[in-house]
Amino acid sequence: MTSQSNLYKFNDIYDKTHLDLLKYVIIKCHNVSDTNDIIQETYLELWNIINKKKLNNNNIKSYLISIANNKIKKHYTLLQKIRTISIYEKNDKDMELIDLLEDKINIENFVIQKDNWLTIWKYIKSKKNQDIPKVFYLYYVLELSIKEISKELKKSESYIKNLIYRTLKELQEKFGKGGYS
Amino acid sequence: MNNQEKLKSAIEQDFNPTNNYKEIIKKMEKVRKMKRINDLLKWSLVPICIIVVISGIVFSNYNKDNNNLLENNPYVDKKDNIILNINDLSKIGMTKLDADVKIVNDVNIPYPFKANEELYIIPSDLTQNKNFIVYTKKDKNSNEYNVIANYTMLITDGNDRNIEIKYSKDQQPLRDYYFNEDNSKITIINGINLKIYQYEENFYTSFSYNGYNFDIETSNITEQEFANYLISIFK
Repeated sequence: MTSQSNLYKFNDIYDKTHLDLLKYVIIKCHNVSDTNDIIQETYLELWNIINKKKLNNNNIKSYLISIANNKIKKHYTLLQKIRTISIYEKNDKDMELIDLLEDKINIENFVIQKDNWLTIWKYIKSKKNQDIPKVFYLYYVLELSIKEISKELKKSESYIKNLIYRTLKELQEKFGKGGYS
Repeated sequence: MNNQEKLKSAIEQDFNPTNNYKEIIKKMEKVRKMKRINDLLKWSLVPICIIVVISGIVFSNYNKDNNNLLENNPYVDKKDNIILNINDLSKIGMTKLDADVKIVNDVNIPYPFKANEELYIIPSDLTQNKNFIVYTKKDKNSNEYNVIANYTMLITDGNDRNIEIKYSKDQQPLRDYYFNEDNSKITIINGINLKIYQYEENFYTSFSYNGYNFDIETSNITEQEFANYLISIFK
């Protein structure tokens, strides 16, 4: 098999698996900013495997996930892992209050005037608690429900709601004008 | 677009599959280039002739809305008052290209330039010179590699900085890269027409000079170093 046909094979796998791998890496990584690097390293490894003709086609998605898992493990030193375990300041009163809110928190209720959402996303990614960008990706891009996100991240629904509510409020204060409407 | 759509679009832009794909291909290409240079240097330690498949890249229109229009980033050499029209390949994608060849090293090859090599402005750290002849088969069914595809002069620092000069009398040198040159801007130096391209840290140029067809490819050479070398050839 030439490298040209290997590339067609690679492209086909990439197209079919990229979104699933992206979701997996975002959920599992310690810092969402590392996502693209880990994805690239994973597919490079796949490319090497394809070229060595050692690819088992049976369950390529699971295979890629296992490569990604190894890449994630290698990507972080133990010290980094410890450092990136973050504790969101919990306010029990808030948690109870948020539990009363509807599951669907509407971002449109926040008046964010600055029309540079890339900056806002960069700000969300820079949060010490990396559950925040993960939740935002799952909630606003993949449009998963709070319940689904809580299952994916193995956290309580209250915690997820709290993250979204508090972060939106913070975004409103930092980037918006006129306060929460 | 509402707030949710704007945020979604920003996040999707960050994790853009096309950008990620391009980065992966770029890294593949970097690994391939390093391997090729290392192999050439390794083979050149002793006189040897080997048969290999060289694999390269085809720059193609990955983004359909790009319409294959190459952006031109001109480089102005103030000393010689020459403008190099550098066609930017960075916004187009790549696929692979294979060629079955025989490479012979440690051979005498014709010298293609008018002046002595000492007169050309080569970065001072590129101290190693290697010469090769690349042979191809007459046709697919032939078993003999007896057609000279091109001569190659490799000027390298022994690591990842190098200038590869490929030239041939009767045909275009064998390329391990390909791209559509239709919309390329031409550069003229001392009456010689050149097509110059850039992809990341690599420059490519093709031209005819002194009875030879040339392809020059550089890796990790700065724009100024590339311009100095190129201009010095035609002085």
